[in-house]
Amino acid sequence: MTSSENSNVILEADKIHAWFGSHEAVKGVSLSAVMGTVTALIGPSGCGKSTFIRTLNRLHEEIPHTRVEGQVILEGKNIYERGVDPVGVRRKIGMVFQKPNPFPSMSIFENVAAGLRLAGISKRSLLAEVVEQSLKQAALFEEVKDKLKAPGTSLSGGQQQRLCIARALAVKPPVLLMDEPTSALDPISTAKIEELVMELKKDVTVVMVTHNMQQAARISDKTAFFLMGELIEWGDTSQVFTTPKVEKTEQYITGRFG
Amino acid sequence: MDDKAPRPSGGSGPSGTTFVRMIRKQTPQPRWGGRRYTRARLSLSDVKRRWVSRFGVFFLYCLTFLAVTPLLGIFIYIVNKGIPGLNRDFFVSLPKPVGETGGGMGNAIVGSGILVSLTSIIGVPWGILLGVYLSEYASSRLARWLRQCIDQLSSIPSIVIGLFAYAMIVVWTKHFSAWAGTFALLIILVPIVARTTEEILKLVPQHIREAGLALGIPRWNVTLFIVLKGVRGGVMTGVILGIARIMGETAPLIFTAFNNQYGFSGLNQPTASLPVQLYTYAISPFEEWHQQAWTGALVLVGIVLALNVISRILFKKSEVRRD
Amino acid sequence: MRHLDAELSQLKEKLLAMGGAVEKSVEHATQALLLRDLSRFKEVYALEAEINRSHVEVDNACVNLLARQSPMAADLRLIIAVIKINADLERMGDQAVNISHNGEYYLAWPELKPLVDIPIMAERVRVMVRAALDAFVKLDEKQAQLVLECDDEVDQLKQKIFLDLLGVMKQSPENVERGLNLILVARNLERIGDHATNIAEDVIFALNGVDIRHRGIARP
Repeated sequence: MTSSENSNVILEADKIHAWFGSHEAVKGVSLSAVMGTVTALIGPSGCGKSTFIRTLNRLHEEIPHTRVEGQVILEGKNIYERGVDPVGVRRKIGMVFQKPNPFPSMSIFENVAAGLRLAGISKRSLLAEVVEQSLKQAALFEEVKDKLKAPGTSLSGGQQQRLCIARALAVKPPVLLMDEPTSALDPISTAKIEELVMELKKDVTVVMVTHNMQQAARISDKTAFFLMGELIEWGDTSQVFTTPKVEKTEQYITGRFG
Repeated sequence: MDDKAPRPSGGSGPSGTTFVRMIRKQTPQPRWGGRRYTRARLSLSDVKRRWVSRFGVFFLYCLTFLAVTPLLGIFIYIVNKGIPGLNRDFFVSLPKPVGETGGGMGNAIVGSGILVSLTSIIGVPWGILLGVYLSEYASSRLARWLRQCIDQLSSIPSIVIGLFAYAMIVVWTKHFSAWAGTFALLIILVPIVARTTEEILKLVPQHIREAGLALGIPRWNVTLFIVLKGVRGGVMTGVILGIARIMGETAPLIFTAFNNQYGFSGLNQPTASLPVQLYTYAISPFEEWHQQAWTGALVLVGIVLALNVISRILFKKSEVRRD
Repeated sequence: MRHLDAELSQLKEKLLAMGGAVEKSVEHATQALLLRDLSRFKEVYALEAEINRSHVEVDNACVNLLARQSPMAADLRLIIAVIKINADLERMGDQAVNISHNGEYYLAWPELKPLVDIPIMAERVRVMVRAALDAFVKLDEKQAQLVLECDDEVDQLKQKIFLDLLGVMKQSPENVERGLNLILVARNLERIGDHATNIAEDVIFALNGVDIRHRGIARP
């Protein structure tokens, strides 16, 4: 990485280890994301990519009997430093999950406004403005503008996932984590989300786990290959997919294992 | 490739299916399809199987009917017996002394209302919070232990709970009171509400909580305003079922709230309730009181039934919402 | 619009710019020879460097698109056609350089004979190259067919030039070197025409998936 890129690093993981009980799922991974890029994490199931991404917003520790070691530096500050409130960290790092998970018995509007409202913002006009803006950003506004009061769960799977993206964007995080955001969706919805991600990177740095290699190839700028909890290779996506440096990566992306 | 070319078969010689196909080609098949064909060839064992199946289904119908009959029987019987005494007086008047006609169970209805309301006001939030704690916060070992305790508590016979409340409150304050009754009912209500709340919260997928946490919402906020709010219908169902249960409890009240023939006179005083009044009248030797007891039974069953139906409707609504 | 569409149109533009350079290069090479203008050969060499650069760039872009976008059907055919057209264009650039070398040699001597058929042939080839590129830009089958029709004519012209020059060369040994150079020019022009034909064939393939090359061969 050149020094000019270095100055734009917004998120940097430094020797991250993560455990479930005594099982070490992530074994010393160091990785960084440059502002305005999409980084894809690929690798076979159980390789630790999802666990790793969940250490980036301190969500891993919400599971009982888990532990994290190492540093994650967000905008120059270590989020694992003593005294840092995970709630504040998570407001700066949004997350979208594998299954679309709009909040039950909340309308589309309430879903998108949830983050702001529970952070204490209640001014109706401000909420309405942010909701509209976020839905537009998530390319959902046109489809739902006439039924903002309908339950979020009444939307189709792909729309629900875009609703979740809008919900995450509403609190204006500089970083968005996506954990296999299209694995529960049909091809058309998947394509829409992919287009969306490529649009979004103007405003937000995306780190995305995907089990779909073509997806990583299509939309990411950087690709990181995980295997058995370790980071095997990390580089420009076109390089990783055309001339991988490590034999294991080559074998995985050519479908020889995994 | 030329479509008409014969396909090479896998092994040497025609395989099983190819062979069948060859035979099929030679035997003319009825145009109207295979269904009629197979029916004509129904074998003896098939006939037997059908009859066994029919008999089995019939047997299950009978069992179901037997199980439902007593319910219908009780209901019809109570309605039959209770209707004659059902009038405005029954709901508003105080009981009349033996020998006089008329009078009602106004005291018991008001008393039951007060006992149940008081218990609900205290017990429902308590039970819900306990359920929330069990499902969301308690470490798994502590939760298991607590759950065990609560389950044991709800399996204690209600008469024992009544005795316990008597020993704890009535002996201490030296008189029966609505408070003592409430205490006994709480011991029944709280475990029910806590356990149903916990079970319902467990139905909320973990990723809903994570979605809330990932938005930077504090945990207690996620629990109350996202998780609990999302299943409020289900929780209300549990609450109403619990209330229906304490509505009909007699044993815990006999030694605690006792009875009061003169209407409600304060929370520190003995307080009448429908089940206890019903019990007292039913075991009395007087014909007029028996009539009152039947009507009381009808009213009680009616209330409990109504509560159950409401809870069912609420639960259905919440189910629809969740999808 | 799909993200792939944007990348494909970028790729087409890049290839087209390269095609323009090749067209210019061929034009300069033949004009230099016909007008006896040595300075034009310099242009050919400059363009050659540009063409080579584009050659590498287009190839890289194609590899990236194939690796990252997993294109299918029409998109896939287009990219494959671009890869082949890219190779053809680069070779055409090389032929233009060859013509320049032969031309420089030829012009160092007094004129062997007035050039009659070579200008005609050069014009024909120029039209072919232009039509092939047009066919690619517009994905126009008619233009592509036009290129295919010109090819035979160019082949015949080359044959005629060969025979004429053989006759001249037989008259005197002094004529051999200049004659040979002119034969090579004709041959290189004919090759350029062949590459234009290939491009036309690739365009037809990209357009409707029909492979019209080598008609004698049985296709699966």
